[in-house]
Amino acid sequence: MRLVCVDKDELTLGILEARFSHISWRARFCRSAEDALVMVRQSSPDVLITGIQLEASNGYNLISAIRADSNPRVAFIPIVILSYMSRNDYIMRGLRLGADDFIAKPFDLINLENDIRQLAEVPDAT
Amino acid sequence: MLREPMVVAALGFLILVVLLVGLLLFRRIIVGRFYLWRFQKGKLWGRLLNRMVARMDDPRPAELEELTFAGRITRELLQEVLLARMDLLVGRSRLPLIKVFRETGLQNLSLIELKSRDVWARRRAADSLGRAGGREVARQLIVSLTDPDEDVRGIAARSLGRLGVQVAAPHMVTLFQSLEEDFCLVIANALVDLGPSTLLPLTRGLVNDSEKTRYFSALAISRICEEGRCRHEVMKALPMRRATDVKAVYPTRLNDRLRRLTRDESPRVRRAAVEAQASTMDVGATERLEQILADDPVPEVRAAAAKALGDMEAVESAERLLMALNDHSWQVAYEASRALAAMGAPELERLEQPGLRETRAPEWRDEIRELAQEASLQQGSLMGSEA
Repeated sequence: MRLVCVDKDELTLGILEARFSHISWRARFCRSAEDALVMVRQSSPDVLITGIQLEASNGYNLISAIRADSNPRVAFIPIVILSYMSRNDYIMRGLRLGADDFIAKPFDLINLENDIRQLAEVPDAT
Repeated sequence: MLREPMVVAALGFLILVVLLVGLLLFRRIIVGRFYLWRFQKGKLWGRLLNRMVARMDDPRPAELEELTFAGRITRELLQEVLLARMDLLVGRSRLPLIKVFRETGLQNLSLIELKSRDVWARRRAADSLGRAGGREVARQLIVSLTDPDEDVRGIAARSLGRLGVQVAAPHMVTLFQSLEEDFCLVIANALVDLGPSTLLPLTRGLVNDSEKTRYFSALAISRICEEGRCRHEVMKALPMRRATDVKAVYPTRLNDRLRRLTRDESPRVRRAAVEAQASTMDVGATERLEQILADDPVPEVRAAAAKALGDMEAVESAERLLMALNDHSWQVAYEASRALAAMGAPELERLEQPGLRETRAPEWRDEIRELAQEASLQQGSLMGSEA
């Protein structure tokens, strides 16, 4: 499994990094939408995990930029939003822009993994 | 003679300069080093805790040894690093962190601090026990609900809500009368977190002498019962032996008390009672709600009644809602228009009837039509998705 994770919160990135490396998923991490876009274009990951609040930009802009990309391998990447901002309007905005799932913080790592597996259509190893 | 004071002054100046330079160096070297050490130690502990979370199993002895704190400063640092992770995670991923909190002795120290004379220590302890403690700390937190400090009582109640300690609900309801409004809201939210099993003490709160208790009890009931899921949830949440008691209390006693509360002298209590009636889907209350919509002197209460009738889709109250479009308060007229829109097109057609056309406020008709179109579109899309 190849992932790109982008979030302003270092703590979230640290926990995701530890977990993904424990289950041998290859993940790249960054804190800004610009870096994430570069990583996504470079590596076409199976799933992108993004926060709403990012450095210098936000997750909505990132989702819009990815969905508008001319390369179909980039434009159709499954996107999961992982954020504390879990009010209905924030969720709906993300889903309308093209996100595939929304996971509210605080979150359960197991649920997150299951959702990623489903989106990437990878069977559960257990 | 003249030279001596000059020498003393020069010496004094020199000593002052040396002291200043020393102070700056001390700050730069010692304090700087302390912060650097704290930062590095925090990073190290953070990585260690991340690895434990990633493994999702018990902390190893060597890891616990690494996490041992030496004094108050290191203890606060470990607690900070640990609680930050606790706040981010739920479910199974949290278990290793709870074990660390318990096995490094942080939990016991917090329990001791809960009895400390220092108010700040008690507040901190009540908070950290709610964020990281196991359910075994519930008893001590319930004791803290009678703490002389208001903040400690409020924080303890919030912590009990976080830990899901349902037996604390009756104590929490009694706190409403003795706390500031902000903390009452915190407790109401904690009761909402605890779920439908708190309805029994909250129903008792509806007839309390204290206005605050009546208001926040109605508010909590309203939030717990949102979307009409309450009746089923109440039955599901309670053990079978208590289900018969609940049947006796809910919905009849709850609804009776809510109806009585709509005549309360406090406008905010009346409004909260009306909202709770809508949440509990008390369809027998529509007549009373119509009366409130017509007669209540406070616009917020009338608006809440209009909204409640819409939420309950009380088609039989359409005539009263149509009349409410002419209410002098825009809030009431707006809520009435939304309620009518929620009822669908047949009711809106009545707006076009000749007798009504002249009397209804024309500026609201377009609004209602837009809302109705939106509502029927939503209904259409829902029906489409069901098909």
